[in-house]
Amino acid sequence: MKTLFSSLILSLFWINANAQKIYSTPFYVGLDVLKGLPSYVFPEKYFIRKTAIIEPYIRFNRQKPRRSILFSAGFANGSSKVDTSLQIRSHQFQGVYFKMAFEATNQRIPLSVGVGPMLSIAGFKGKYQFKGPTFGDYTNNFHIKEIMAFGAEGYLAYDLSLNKKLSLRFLIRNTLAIRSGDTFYPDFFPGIGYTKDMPKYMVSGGFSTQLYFRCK
Amino acid sequence: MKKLLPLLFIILVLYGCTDCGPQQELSVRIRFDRTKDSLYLNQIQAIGALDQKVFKEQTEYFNKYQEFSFTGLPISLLADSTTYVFNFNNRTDTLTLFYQRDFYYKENCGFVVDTKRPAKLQETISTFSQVRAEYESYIMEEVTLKGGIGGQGISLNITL
Repeated sequence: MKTLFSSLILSLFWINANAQKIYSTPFYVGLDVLKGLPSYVFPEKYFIRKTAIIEPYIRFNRQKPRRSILFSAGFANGSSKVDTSLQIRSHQFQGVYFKMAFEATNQRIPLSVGVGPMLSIAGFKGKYQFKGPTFGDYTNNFHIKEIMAFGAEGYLAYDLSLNKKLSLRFLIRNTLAIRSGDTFYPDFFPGIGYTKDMPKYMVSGGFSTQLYFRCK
Repeated sequence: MKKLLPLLFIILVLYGCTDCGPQQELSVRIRFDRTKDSLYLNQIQAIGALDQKVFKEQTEYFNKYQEFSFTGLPISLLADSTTYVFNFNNRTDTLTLFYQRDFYYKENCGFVVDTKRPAKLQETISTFSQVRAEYESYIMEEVTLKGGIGGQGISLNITL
C-alpha cells in the first residue's frame, strides 16, 4: 500500500510536469473538501466511520474551447459500519484510486459534464464472530488484500467563482465499476462509494464539493 | 394465468435464494438405537462447555420421549473436536466427535460456518458399542421448492 501511495504522488508530479509543457493555458489544482467529513460528524448514522479521504485534482484546459482534462488520485482510510447480520464485528479499509475525465463546459453557465476511466485498489480487514452460547464465541480476523476495481465515472459540475484564483465546484457523480476477486463484498469501496450487496458490478453515486485554485 | 402468477413468483424468489446455514454455534444430530436398551439418562456433559442449559434440556427429552429419535447437541467452534460424557443409571459413556471447521465469506450471507469430515481417518472415539458418523454440509447446496439439498450437518447413529 505504501508503494501504491508513493506511485500515486509521483504520478501526480509527472502529470503536473508534463502537462505544463503541453498546455500553455491556465491549469487548476483542486481538493475535495467534504469527502469523509460526514463520517466524523455523524459516525453512528453514516455508513462509514472516521474515514480520511484525500482526493486532489489537476485540471487543464485543452486546445479546443471549453474543453478540459482532469486527473485525480485519491487515498481513503477508515472503517465501515459494523454489520452484525453478516457476523462482522469490525471492518476497516484502505485504498488508492486514480481517475481521469474529459470535460466539456457550457458556454453561458459554468456547468460542466465529464466522463472518464477510473481505477481503484483497496484492501479490507476486520474481525468476524459467531456466537457460542454453549462453548464460547468464536472470533477470527479476515484480511483481503488488494482488490482491484476499474470502470468509468461521469459527473455534472457547477463552478462557483470565489475570486480570481479560487473557485468552488459542486458535483454530482455516478460510477460504474467491475471488481476482481469474490472473497469479500465491502459496503464501501474507495473511489467508488457505497457498494453494499454489489458482488461483481458496482454502481454508486454521490455529491461532492471541491475547492479549486487557478495556478496561472 | 392469474393462478399461475403466485407460483411463478415463488419460483422466482426461490431461484434467487441462497442458504447461509445456521451462522451460529452448530449442533450434531444424535440418534440412539434404544430398542434393546432403555437406560435412564441422568446427565449429559460436554468438556469445555460454559453453559449446561442445552444439555439439561436434551437429557429431559431423552428420558421423556422414548420414541424421541434425535438429540441435538452443540459442537464447539473453538476446536476441531467435542467430547461428551453421558451419565446413565448404571453406566457412563464418553464420545469424542472429530470434524474440520470451515469459516468463509459467502455472497448475500456474510461469514458462514460449516464443517467437513476430519482430515485424519478417525471420526469418533467412544465407549458406546457402535457409533456411525455421517458428515453433510450445514449449508444447503441448492434451494428448491421441496426445501433444498443438503444442510443436515453432522449426524451420529449410536448403539448403546
